[in-house]
Amino acid sequence: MEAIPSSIFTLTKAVSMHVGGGSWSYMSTALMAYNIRIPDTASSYQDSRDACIDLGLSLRTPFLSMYHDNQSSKVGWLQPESQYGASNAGHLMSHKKSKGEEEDDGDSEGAQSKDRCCYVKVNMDGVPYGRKIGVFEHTDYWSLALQLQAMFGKYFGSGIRLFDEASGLLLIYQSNEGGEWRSVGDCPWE
Amino acid sequence: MAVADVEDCESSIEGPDKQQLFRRTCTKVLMEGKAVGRAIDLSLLDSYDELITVLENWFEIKGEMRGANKNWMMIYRDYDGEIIVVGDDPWADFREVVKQIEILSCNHVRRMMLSGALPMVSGLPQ
Repeated sequence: MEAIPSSIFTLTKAVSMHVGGGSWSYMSTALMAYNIRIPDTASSYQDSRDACIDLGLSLRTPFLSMYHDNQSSKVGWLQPESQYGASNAGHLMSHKKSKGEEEDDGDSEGAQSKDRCCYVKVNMDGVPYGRKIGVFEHTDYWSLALQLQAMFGKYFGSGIRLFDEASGLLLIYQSNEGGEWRSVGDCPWE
Repeated sequence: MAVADVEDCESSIEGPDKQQLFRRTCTKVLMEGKAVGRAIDLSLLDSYDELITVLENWFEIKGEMRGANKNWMMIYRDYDGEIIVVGDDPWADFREVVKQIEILSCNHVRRMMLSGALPMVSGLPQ
Protein backbone atom coordinates (compact mmCIF):
# COMPACT_ATOMS: atom_id res chain seq x y z
CA MET A 1 0.00 0.00 0.00
CA GLU A 2 1.50 3.30 -1.04
CA ALA A 3 2.49 5.76 1.63
CA ILE A 4 0.23 8.69 2.12
CA PRO A 5 1.98 11.87 1.11
CA SER A 6 1.47 14.15 4.03
CA SER A 7 3.83 16.15 6.12
CA ILE A 8 1.76 15.75 9.21
CA PHE A 9 0.28 12.62 10.62
CA THR A 10 -2.04 12.61 13.50
CA LEU A 11 -1.87 9.39 15.37
CA THR A 12 -4.75 9.44 17.65
CA LYS A 13 -5.58 6.78 20.06
CA ALA A 14 -8.36 6.60 22.53
CA VAL A 15 -8.86 4.15 25.27
CA SER A 16 -11.45 3.87 27.87
CA MET A 17 -10.80 1.54 30.66
CA HIS A 18 -12.39 0.88 33.93
CA VAL A 19 -9.82 0.36 36.60
CA GLY A 20 -11.05 -0.74 39.95
CA GLY A 21 -14.10 1.16 40.97
CA GLY A 22 -12.84 4.59 40.23
CA SER A 23 -14.58 7.13 38.14
CA TRP A 24 -13.82 7.57 34.50
CA SER A 25 -11.68 10.31 33.16
CA TYR A 26 -9.97 10.61 29.87
CA MET A 27 -7.05 12.20 28.22
CA SER A 28 -6.46 12.34 24.54
CA THR A 29 -3.16 12.29 22.77
CA ALA A 30 -2.01 12.73 19.27
CA LEU A 31 1.08 11.87 17.40
CA MET A 32 2.23 14.55 15.10
CA ALA A 33 5.10 14.89 12.72
CA TYR A 34 7.40 17.05 14.72
CA ASN A 35 10.37 16.65 16.96
CA ILE A 36 10.53 13.51 18.98
CA ARG A 37 11.47 13.45 22.57
CA ILE A 38 11.96 10.26 24.42
CA PRO A 39 12.17 10.41 28.17
CA ASP A 40 15.09 9.15 30.12
CA THR A 41 14.67 6.30 32.51
CA ALA A 42 11.67 6.45 34.75
CA SER A 43 11.73 9.08 37.38
CA SER A 44 10.45 8.75 40.89
CA TYR A 45 6.96 9.36 39.63
CA GLN A 46 4.49 7.80 41.94
CA ASP A 47 3.51 4.43 40.68
CA SER A 48 -0.05 3.50 41.25
CA ARG A 49 -1.65 0.39 39.99
CA ASP A 50 -4.88 2.28 39.74
CA ALA A 51 -3.50 4.95 37.45
CA CYS A 52 -3.14 4.48 33.76
CA ILE A 53 -0.70 6.22 31.56
CA ASP A 54 -1.51 8.28 28.61
CA LEU A 55 0.71 7.46 25.70
CA GLY A 56 0.06 10.49 23.61
CA LEU A 57 -1.88 8.80 20.90
CA SER A 58 -5.20 10.46 21.42
CA LEU A 59 -5.27 8.24 24.38
CA ARG A 60 -8.13 8.44 26.77
CA THR A 61 -7.48 6.69 30.00
CA PRO A 62 -9.24 6.80 33.32
CA PHE A 63 -7.06 8.07 36.07
CA LEU A 64 -7.47 9.06 39.63
CA SER A 65 -8.04 12.53 40.89
CA MET A 66 -4.35 12.98 41.48
CA TYR A 67 -4.05 13.44 37.77
CA HIS A 68 -6.67 15.87 36.82
CA ASP A 69 -7.22 18.03 39.85
CA ASN A 70 -4.70 20.71 39.05
CA GLN A 71 -1.39 21.39 37.48
CA SER A 72 0.57 20.73 40.63
CA SER A 73 -0.39 17.09 40.56
CA LYS A 74 1.22 16.62 37.18
CA VAL A 75 4.78 16.50 38.39
CA GLY A 76 7.37 16.97 35.75
CA TRP A 77 4.95 17.47 32.91
CA LEU A 78 5.74 20.36 30.71
CA GLN A 79 3.43 22.38 28.61
CA PRO A 80 4.06 21.77 24.95
CA GLU A 81 4.02 25.48 24.37
CA SER A 82 7.07 25.86 26.51
CA GLN A 83 9.06 23.39 24.52
CA TYR A 84 8.01 23.96 21.00
CA GLY A 85 7.06 26.94 18.99
CA ALA A 86 3.68 28.43 19.55
CA SER A 87 2.98 27.89 15.90
CA ASN A 88 3.55 24.18 16.32
CA ALA A 89 1.25 23.92 19.28
CA GLY A 90 -1.36 25.96 17.54
CA HIS A 91 -1.14 23.81 14.48
CA LEU A 92 -1.49 20.70 16.53
CA MET A 93 -4.50 22.07 18.28
CA SER A 94 -6.26 23.12 15.16
CA HIS A 95 -5.46 19.89 13.41
CA LYS A 96 -6.57 17.84 16.31
CA LYS A 97 -9.85 19.64 16.64
CA SER A 98 -10.74 18.93 13.09
CA LYS A 99 -10.14 15.24 13.50
CA GLY A 100 -10.66 14.39 17.09
CA GLU A 101 -13.82 16.07 18.20
CA GLU A 102 -15.39 12.74 18.76
CA GLU A 103 -12.74 11.85 21.25
CA ASP A 104 -13.23 14.79 23.52
CA ASP A 105 -16.58 13.98 24.94
CA GLY A 106 -15.09 11.98 27.75
CA ASP A 107 -18.17 9.87 28.03
CA SER A 108 -17.76 6.40 29.30
CA GLU A 109 -18.37 3.57 26.97
CA GLY A 110 -21.10 1.03 27.29
CA ALA A 111 -20.84 -2.14 29.25
CA GLN A 112 -17.21 -2.71 30.09
CA SER A 113 -15.39 -5.46 31.87
CA LYS A 114 -14.02 -4.08 35.08
CA ASP A 115 -10.91 -6.17 34.86
CA ARG A 116 -10.16 -5.51 31.23
CA CYS A 117 -6.56 -4.96 30.33
CA CYS A 118 -5.42 -1.59 29.15
CA TYR A 119 -5.87 -1.82 25.39
CA VAL A 120 -5.68 1.52 23.74
CA LYS A 121 -7.11 2.64 20.47
CA VAL A 122 -4.68 4.03 17.95
CA ASN A 123 -5.88 6.10 15.06
CA MET A 124 -3.66 7.51 12.40
CA ASP A 125 -4.67 10.42 10.31
CA GLY A 126 -5.35 9.26 6.79
CA VAL A 127 -6.02 5.67 7.78
CA PRO A 128 -9.75 4.95 7.94
CA TYR A 129 -9.51 2.42 10.73
CA GLY A 130 -7.77 2.31 14.03
CA ARG A 131 -5.79 -0.33 15.85
CA LYS A 132 -5.46 -1.41 19.42
CA ILE A 133 -2.34 -1.65 21.54
CA GLY A 134 -1.95 -3.27 24.90
CA VAL A 135 -0.35 -0.59 27.01
CA PHE A 136 0.83 -2.87 29.76
CA GLU A 137 2.46 -5.19 27.30
CA HIS A 138 5.16 -2.62 26.87
CA THR A 139 7.88 -1.84 29.33
CA ASP A 140 8.81 1.55 28.00
CA TYR A 141 8.19 4.02 25.24
CA TRP A 142 10.66 2.32 22.99
CA SER A 143 8.77 -0.95 22.76
CA LEU A 144 5.60 1.03 22.17
CA ALA A 145 7.29 2.87 19.36
CA LEU A 146 8.31 -0.39 17.78
CA GLN A 147 4.79 -1.72 17.79
CA LEU A 148 3.45 1.50 16.34
CA GLN A 149 6.05 1.25 13.66
CA ALA A 150 4.90 -2.28 12.87
CA MET A 151 1.29 -1.16 12.67
CA PHE A 152 1.58 2.15 10.92
CA GLY A 153 5.04 2.34 9.48
CA LYS A 154 3.84 1.34 6.04
CA TYR A 155 1.68 4.44 5.85
CA PHE A 156 4.55 6.78 6.54
CA GLY A 157 7.22 6.95 3.88
CA SER A 158 10.26 6.83 6.08
CA GLY A 159 8.66 4.85 8.83
CA ILE A 160 7.31 6.09 12.11
CA ARG A 161 10.62 5.81 13.94
CA LEU A 162 9.33 7.31 17.11
CA PHE A 163 12.65 6.78 18.81
CA ASP A 164 14.54 8.65 16.15
CA GLU A 165 14.67 12.37 16.65
CA ALA A 166 15.44 12.81 13.01
CA SER A 167 12.12 11.29 12.03
CA GLY A 168 10.35 14.41 13.13
CA LEU A 169 7.64 12.65 15.06
CA LEU A 170 6.26 13.89 18.29
CA LEU A 171 4.16 12.03 20.73
CA ILE A 172 1.79 14.24 22.56
CA TYR A 173 -1.41 13.78 24.44
CA GLN A 174 -4.35 15.94 25.14
CA SER A 175 -6.04 16.10 28.47
CA ASN A 176 -9.71 15.66 28.03
CA GLU A 177 -10.29 17.78 31.08
CA GLY A 178 -8.44 20.87 30.03
CA GLY A 179 -7.86 20.13 26.39
CA GLU A 180 -4.20 20.94 26.80
CA TRP A 181 -1.63 19.22 24.68
CA ARG A 182 1.29 17.71 26.51
CA SER A 183 4.37 15.95 25.40
CA VAL A 184 4.36 12.26 26.18
CA GLY A 185 8.06 12.41 26.64
CA ASP A 186 7.60 14.44 29.78
CA CYS A 187 5.53 11.82 31.46
CA PRO A 188 7.31 8.87 33.03
CA TRP A 189 6.29 5.58 31.55
CA GLU A 190 4.63 4.49 34.77
CA MET B 1 -20.34 -25.18 13.77
CA ALA B 2 -23.48 -24.73 15.75
CA VAL B 3 -23.64 -21.01 15.55
CA ALA B 4 -26.80 -19.58 14.18
CA ASP B 5 -28.60 -16.32 13.90
CA VAL B 6 -30.77 -15.54 16.81
CA GLU B 7 -34.04 -13.75 16.53
CA ASP B 8 -33.96 -12.45 20.03
CA CYS B 9 -30.73 -10.57 20.48
CA GLU B 10 -31.45 -9.28 23.90
CA SER B 11 -31.62 -10.95 27.25
CA SER B 12 -32.68 -9.48 30.50
CA ILE B 13 -30.39 -9.47 33.45
CA GLU B 14 -30.75 -8.14 36.91
CA GLY B 15 -28.81 -5.05 37.69
CA PRO B 16 -27.27 -4.22 41.04
CA ASP B 17 -30.48 -2.53 42.13
CA LYS B 18 -32.52 -5.51 41.07
CA GLN B 19 -33.72 -3.59 38.06
CA GLN B 20 -34.26 -5.38 34.85
CA LEU B 21 -31.52 -4.42 32.46
CA PHE B 22 -31.48 -5.46 28.85
CA ARG B 23 -28.18 -6.27 27.33
CA ARG B 24 -27.61 -6.98 23.70
CA THR B 25 -26.33 -10.49 23.15
CA CYS B 26 -25.90 -10.42 19.40
CA THR B 27 -23.63 -8.35 17.28
CA LYS B 28 -24.68 -7.07 13.90
CA VAL B 29 -22.41 -8.02 11.03
CA LEU B 30 -22.55 -6.06 7.79
CA MET B 31 -20.69 -6.84 4.63
CA GLU B 32 -19.78 -4.54 1.80
CA GLY B 33 -22.01 -5.19 -1.16
CA LYS B 34 -24.58 -7.10 0.83
CA ALA B 35 -27.90 -5.45 1.49
CA VAL B 36 -28.77 -7.78 4.33
CA GLY B 37 -26.60 -8.20 7.35
CA ARG B 38 -26.39 -10.95 9.91
CA ALA B 39 -26.34 -11.12 13.66
CA ILE B 40 -23.96 -13.26 15.61
CA ASP B 41 -23.79 -14.17 19.25
CA LEU B 42 -20.14 -13.72 20.11
CA SER B 43 -20.57 -15.40 23.47
CA LEU B 44 -20.91 -18.70 21.62
CA LEU B 45 -17.46 -18.31 20.11
CA ASP B 46 -14.10 -18.69 21.77
CA SER B 47 -11.70 -17.00 19.41
CA TYR B 48 -11.23 -14.80 16.41
CA ASP B 49 -10.53 -17.90 14.35
CA GLU B 50 -13.98 -19.21 15.09
CA LEU B 51 -15.49 -15.86 14.26
CA ILE B 52 -13.75 -15.73 10.91
CA THR B 53 -14.74 -19.30 10.11
CA VAL B 54 -18.39 -18.58 10.82
CA LEU B 55 -18.47 -15.37 8.86
CA GLU B 56 -16.65 -16.87 5.90
CA ASN B 57 -19.36 -19.53 5.77
CA TRP B 58 -22.20 -17.12 6.20
CA PHE B 59 -21.05 -14.73 3.54
CA GLU B 60 -19.63 -17.40 1.26
CA ILE B 61 -16.10 -16.07 1.23
CA LYS B 62 -14.23 -19.08 2.48
CA GLY B 63 -10.53 -18.55 2.74
CA GLU B 64 -10.75 -14.92 1.77
CA MET B 65 -10.50 -13.34 5.17
CA ARG B 66 -7.04 -14.54 6.05
CA GLY B 67 -3.86 -15.82 4.56
CA ALA B 68 -2.56 -15.29 1.10
CA ASN B 69 -6.00 -15.07 -0.44
CA LYS B 70 -7.18 -12.38 1.89
CA ASN B 71 -9.56 -10.11 0.04
CA TRP B 72 -11.64 -9.00 2.97
CA MET B 73 -10.84 -7.39 6.24
CA MET B 74 -12.94 -6.99 9.34
CA ILE B 75 -13.35 -3.83 11.27
CA TYR B 76 -15.65 -3.07 14.11
CA ARG B 77 -17.35 0.00 15.45
CA ASP B 78 -17.30 0.48 19.18
CA TYR B 79 -19.69 2.39 21.36
CA ASP B 80 -17.69 5.57 20.79
CA GLY B 81 -18.39 5.23 17.12
CA GLU B 82 -14.77 4.62 16.30
CA ILE B 83 -13.58 2.15 13.73
CA ILE B 84 -10.99 -0.39 14.75
CA VAL B 85 -9.46 -3.42 13.11
CA VAL B 86 -10.82 -6.69 14.42
CA GLY B 87 -8.18 -8.82 16.02
CA ASP B 88 -6.09 -6.45 18.07
CA ASP B 89 -8.08 -6.76 21.26
CA PRO B 90 -7.98 -9.81 23.45
CA TRP B 91 -10.99 -11.88 22.49
CA ALA B 92 -12.78 -11.36 25.79
CA ASP B 93 -12.28 -7.60 25.58
CA PHE B 94 -13.46 -7.55 21.99
CA ARG B 95 -16.75 -9.12 22.93
CA GLU B 96 -17.32 -6.34 25.41
CA VAL B 97 -16.50 -3.36 23.25
CA VAL B 98 -17.76 -4.35 19.85
CA LYS B 99 -20.95 -2.73 18.76
CA GLN B 100 -21.03 -3.75 15.12
CA ILE B 101 -18.78 -5.69 12.80
CA GLU B 102 -18.22 -4.79 9.18
CA ILE B 103 -16.53 -6.77 6.47
CA LEU B 104 -14.86 -4.62 3.88
CA SER B 105 -12.94 -5.50 0.78
CA CYS B 106 -9.28 -4.62 0.85
CA ASN B 107 -9.67 -2.61 -2.33
CA HIS B 108 -12.46 -0.64 -0.75
CA VAL B 109 -10.31 0.21 2.24
CA ARG B 110 -7.45 1.21 0.01
CA ARG B 111 -9.67 3.62 -1.88
CA MET B 112 -11.01 5.02 1.34
CA MET B 113 -7.53 5.75 2.58
CA LEU B 114 -6.95 7.99 -0.36
CA SER B 115 -10.17 9.84 0.20
CA GLY B 116 -9.74 9.95 3.95
CA ALA B 117 -13.20 8.61 4.59
CA LEU B 118 -14.82 5.33 5.32
CA PRO B 119 -18.46 5.41 4.26
CA MET B 120 -21.06 3.21 5.77
CA VAL B 121 -21.03 -0.33 4.52
CA SER B 122 -23.74 -1.07 1.99
CA GLY B 123 -25.28 2.28 2.70
CA LEU B 124 -26.98 0.88 5.74
CA PRO B 125 -27.49 3.23 8.65
CA GLN B 126 -25.17 2.86 11.61
